[in-house]
This record gives sequence, C-alpha cells and structure tokens, in this order.
Amino acid sequence: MRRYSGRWENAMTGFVQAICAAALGVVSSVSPAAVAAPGPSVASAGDTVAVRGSLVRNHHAVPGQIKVELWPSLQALHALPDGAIFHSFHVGVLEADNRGRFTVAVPTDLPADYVGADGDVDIQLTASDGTSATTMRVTAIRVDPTVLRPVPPGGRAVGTRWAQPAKLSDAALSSTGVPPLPEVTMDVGAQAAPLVGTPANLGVAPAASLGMSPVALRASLTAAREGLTSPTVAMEGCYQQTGTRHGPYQETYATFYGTGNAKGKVHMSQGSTHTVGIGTKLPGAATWSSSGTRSVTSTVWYDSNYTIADANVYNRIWQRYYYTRCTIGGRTDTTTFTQPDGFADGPGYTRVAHVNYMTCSPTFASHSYGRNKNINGAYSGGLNLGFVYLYAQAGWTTSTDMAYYFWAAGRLCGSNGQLWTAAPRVSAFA
Amino acid sequence: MALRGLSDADGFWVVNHAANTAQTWSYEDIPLCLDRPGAVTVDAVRPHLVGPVTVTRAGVRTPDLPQLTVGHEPLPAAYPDAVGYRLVVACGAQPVPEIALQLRRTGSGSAAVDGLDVDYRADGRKAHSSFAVTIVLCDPTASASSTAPLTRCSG
Repeated sequence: MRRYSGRWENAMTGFVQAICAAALGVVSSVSPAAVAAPGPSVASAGDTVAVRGSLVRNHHAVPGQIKVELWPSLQALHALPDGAIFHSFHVGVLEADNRGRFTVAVPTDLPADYVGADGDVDIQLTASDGTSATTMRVTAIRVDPTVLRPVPPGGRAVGTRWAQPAKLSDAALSSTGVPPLPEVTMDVGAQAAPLVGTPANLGVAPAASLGMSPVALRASLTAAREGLTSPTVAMEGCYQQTGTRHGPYQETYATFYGTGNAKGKVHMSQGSTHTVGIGTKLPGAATWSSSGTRSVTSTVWYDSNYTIADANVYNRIWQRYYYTRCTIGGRTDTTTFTQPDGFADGPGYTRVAHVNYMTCSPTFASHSYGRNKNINGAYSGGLNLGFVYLYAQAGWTTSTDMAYYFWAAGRLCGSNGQLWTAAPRVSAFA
Repeated sequence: MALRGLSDADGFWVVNHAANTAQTWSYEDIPLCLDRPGAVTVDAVRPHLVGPVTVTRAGVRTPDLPQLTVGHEPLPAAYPDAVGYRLVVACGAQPVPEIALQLRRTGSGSAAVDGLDVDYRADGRKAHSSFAVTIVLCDPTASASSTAPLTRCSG
C-alpha cells in the first residue's frame, strides 16, 4: 500500500484540491493546474495494461478523462459487516484521445485486499467528457502467460499480464491461445449523470468531473497507509459503504436433455469462476441499469452424478448492495451498486420438456461423453433481480465438468445442424 | 490453407467404462476439414498413447458412409485409410469427413488415446495439425488411476 499511496498522491494532487460532488458529478472551483496535474498516463514501471477502452457519446468517439480505481476483492468485501466504510485503491486518472481510445494500466503487484482468489481485480472506470459522466466496472484476471493460469493473491509470475476472465479458460485450454484483454465502451451519452457545477467550471475543467471519489480524498490517503476500512466519514467528499446482502438469485446456465438411459451430470469445483453483471442506480435515476461486470468465484462444490434429464441447472448467487455517497455543500448524492457476493450451496433444477436435436452421432452403452470446454448445453442465463436483469456467464476458469452417460446405446445430437462435439445445445437419447 | 485441428478448448472426450481386452473398439466424430477451399493429403496420423493401448487402424468416414453403430466393432472396410486420404472439404460445409480410430486395450490397466496429430501436405509443403480428442478405455477390474486422463474412468 505504501508504495502506491505516494504515487497516487502525486498523480492526484490536483484533485485533492478539487471538491468531490455527486457520485458521478462534480465540482466547484478547480484550478488550471489541477486540471493539468494528472496527465495522460499514471502508469509506472511494473504496471501493465489491464483494459482497453473507448469513450463515446451516443456512439461517437469523444475525448475525455477516465478515473481508475480498484474495488476491494469480493473476499475482502464479504468479510466486512453491513454499513462498513471501505476504500478503493486509486490508480489515477488518464485521458482518452481524440478517437476516444484509452488504455488502463494497473500494477501487477497489488495489496492482497484488492486481488481476488483467481488473481482477479475489480476495476472501476469513471469517465467524463466534461459535460456528463458515467461509470463502469470490469474484471481483469492477472495471469502468467507462460502457463496461462491465474496468479493468486500474493503470488508472482514472470511476465504477468491481465486477461478477460470469461475468455481465460478458452485460452488456458488452448495450446496456442493468448488470453485477450478486457475491452469496454463507455458512453457518456447513455446512462450518464449530469455534472454538478457551474457551466464555467465544466467548460474549463473537465477533469474536475473526475474529482468524485468513492472515498474522501484525504481519508483515502490515510487509508492507503492504514488498511482497507475506516470508521470515519468526511464531512465533505465521498466515501463507500457496504449494504445488505439479498437473494439468492438463480443463474440458469445449462440445460440437459436426456432420457432414462442417457443422463447428464454437472460437477462444479470450488474456484469455478462466473462473471455476473453489476447493477447501478445513479444519483437521481429512477431505474437501475446494468453497468459492467464482476467475476464471482464459487466457494461450494457439488457433483450431481449422472442423474439429470430434461432439466435446467442453475446456481444460486447472493448479491449485496454497496453505496458511494458524496457530499458537497450539504448535499449528498448516492450511487447504489448491487454486485455478486458469493454462491449459495448446491445447484437447483427445474424440469423442461424434452427436445431432440437432429444432427446425431451414435453413442454406445457404458460410455460417457463430454466436451473439454465444458459447455454441453451451457449458456448465458442471466440473473433476474426483479429490479434489474444482469448478465451472467460461466467463465469456467477452473473445473466445471458437464457430461452424459449412456446405460444403453443411443445417440447424442447437436443443435444448429452441428454434431454434439461443436453444437451450442446438445440432446441425448437412449 | 491448413487442416483445421481441434484446440483443447474445442476438443471432446469419450470414456468406455467397460473396455475388455478381447474387443476392438472404433470411434469417429473427429471433424476433418480445411480452413478454406483447397486440398491437402494426409501423410500420417499420430495418436498420443497413455497406457496399454494400440491403434490398429486410422480411417476416414466420409459423409456418404453409414455411422458406426455399436462401438465394439472394427472400422468398416468401406472407410478409406486416413493415410493418403485427399481432403477437399472446407469447414462450414455440412457434414464434413471424420477421422475414425480403431483401437484395442492390450493389457492390464486403463489406457487412452490422449490427443492426436495429423501430418499432411498442402501446396507442396508439410504441416501438421493437432486434435484435442481423448478416448479412454477403462479396465473395469483396475483400481482408480490418478493419471490424467485415466481419472475419467472413476468419474
């Protein structure tokens, strides 16, 4: 923590002078020096590119600035009681060029509280083009490209870099694949909050829009030296706070079509990583929106054995609320997030009508069949919270096994005119 | 142009949980196609063997030929040999030819073909592609193995 707090302090000196305002809005007075202070990049030796992105306004590229900070890991957040005040890790502020392009570099060597069990970091990007601002969350996984596996917290690997979690398993399983970086597009014309401040301020100081901070800036510097949480709330500025858990919610991710002599099984090991959307309710907004994703790692283990026929399979995922509260001039704005907090025990099943796909291969008695990619019938089921529908994708960074067993000769069939070995959906019959 | 292999992520596995040594087994479904229109000729099929197993024939099931039906059978004589096979089918055309393997467990203990390489010639140059296909022949009398992929015998 010590190493980065100094660097962050230097990079953010101008912003310390700026005043936080709405969670996505800003600010009052800010000097030209403050605007210039962050510069186009805050990367230093040891930082590596974790995310590439584009800043747009209604699909047209715009220049602007992006504030980069890291949320604590899910494990660290999970350990906090409701109402706890916690701190993000401030990486700095960077600029999107005239084509709206930007790259986010973060340290590969981070404090343990900010790196998840899969070597994942939760990056919050807050972008502004000087008129309005928006926020997005994205997960990057720290991997060792020489062996294409996640580097756990505290672990170090030569050539460490970052990768998109949902694609990691594909690349890790590939003999030649290299995990891609996460790519994001941030639209300050959609789901954006207007800036708070005078037109004059906005005109001369777009960087001020990035002065909003999830923690009071002064408190942040202290926290960076002392730990993850703080019992105090600044009178002016911003802070982050944990809320209550809610759920669990169903993440349906697979369908098995089978018969009495051809049934499927699903096995999920602890450490199986899924990517789930983050719900965001901006200050003044009437509705929730989905804004970015977070990877969540299972802490449960289950094996259904070969018992599943004609059923959807779902995980149950807990969610938790988080708040970013910013106070300026006596006015407080709150941005509310909901994000995954962990898995509930065991899978669930719901019965579905049998389907026979048409492109079939014969199967033999006393044989089992599966695909390396573990997606026989798997799909992105999503997570319906009632007030917002969130993306969900099984990332399979570690072992999740799905397979069929045949007690009698039968057939495995694929959808879309493809064999079971490649089709998006599979049905079994025997 | 190149023969499109099967990456680990795209591969698949088959486990025979009761493969006695007296029987010959045959498996197919390994797609054989090109990444773009053209022609290649197969020079060799090199299975990666784990444990007591032998591959006694590598053939090609062309789309006009009937599929295998029971598993414990030799490859039909109508299947052309893989070595020397001239492939002219681009991926995406449905259906495509398939590599078919005829194999037998040769001794005590479970065994497997854990991937295979196919050598071929295209436009006068030599190349090879890898296929992440695993076929496990389990010895029903053997104790559980901790060697991948034989661990699948107990799964």
